[in-house]
Amino acid sequence: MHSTTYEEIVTRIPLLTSDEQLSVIEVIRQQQSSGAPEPSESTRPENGARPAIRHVPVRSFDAERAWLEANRRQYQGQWVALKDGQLILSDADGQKFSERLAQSGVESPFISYIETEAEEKYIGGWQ
Amino acid sequence: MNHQLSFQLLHQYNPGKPGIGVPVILQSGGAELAVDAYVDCGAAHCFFSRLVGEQLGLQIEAGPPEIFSTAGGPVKGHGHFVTLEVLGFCFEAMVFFAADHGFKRNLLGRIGWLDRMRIGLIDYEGKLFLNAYQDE
Repeated sequence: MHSTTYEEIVTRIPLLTSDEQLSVIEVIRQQQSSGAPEPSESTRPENGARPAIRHVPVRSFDAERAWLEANRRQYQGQWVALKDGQLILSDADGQKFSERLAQSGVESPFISYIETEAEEKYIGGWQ
Repeated sequence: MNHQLSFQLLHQYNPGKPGIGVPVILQSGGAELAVDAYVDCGAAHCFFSRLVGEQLGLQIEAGPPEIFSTAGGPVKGHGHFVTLEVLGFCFEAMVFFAADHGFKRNLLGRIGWLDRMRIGLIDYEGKLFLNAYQDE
């Protein structure tokens, strides 16, 4: 199984221009010819040095969670946008909701699609 | 043999709900929004609805495409690097956004989230314990 870093790089390759792809190949060749050491088990990103995680204060969404709990039945099957525990807008049509939300100018909203009872029962596990 | 783990953070979720829900903040290019997401240990990648990516200002189709198999058939997504903030743990990761508007669920999967965390779970009590992998 390949590492996460490998997977991320490979999926980004199509975004590069042909010249950039050739440059990447050249960089790899130069690093190999310069005798750069192979990453060891302890330095490979997925087996040792994990991607850096910054610790930031936990932001509370208690007000939003409370609103969702209180209003779930009424808004089933709809997208809702909340800010500070208050409903900004709702719409069952995702595209319309997206357009209306973009036009609203609300910064950092909390958005959620409230599933219907049938949609709530799902089986995960896919790739 | 007993194994012991310790955690910095306890997130209480509603065990009466079908999924293990956590709030996730996504940031890209100065835009930011928060969503509900389910922890999905069976999902290979983190996957979000198209609407979420659009609200971040992403051109969804500009990201590399990937087809994912699901119980309901294949689902197409596009990868984008974003900043994820999950319960005080903040990092950059490639996540996928659904190509289709019909996919409405947000999932925290293995690559990009689980592989960066240590987790403990007592589902009966709705308790999710979290540490960054880098933190002992």
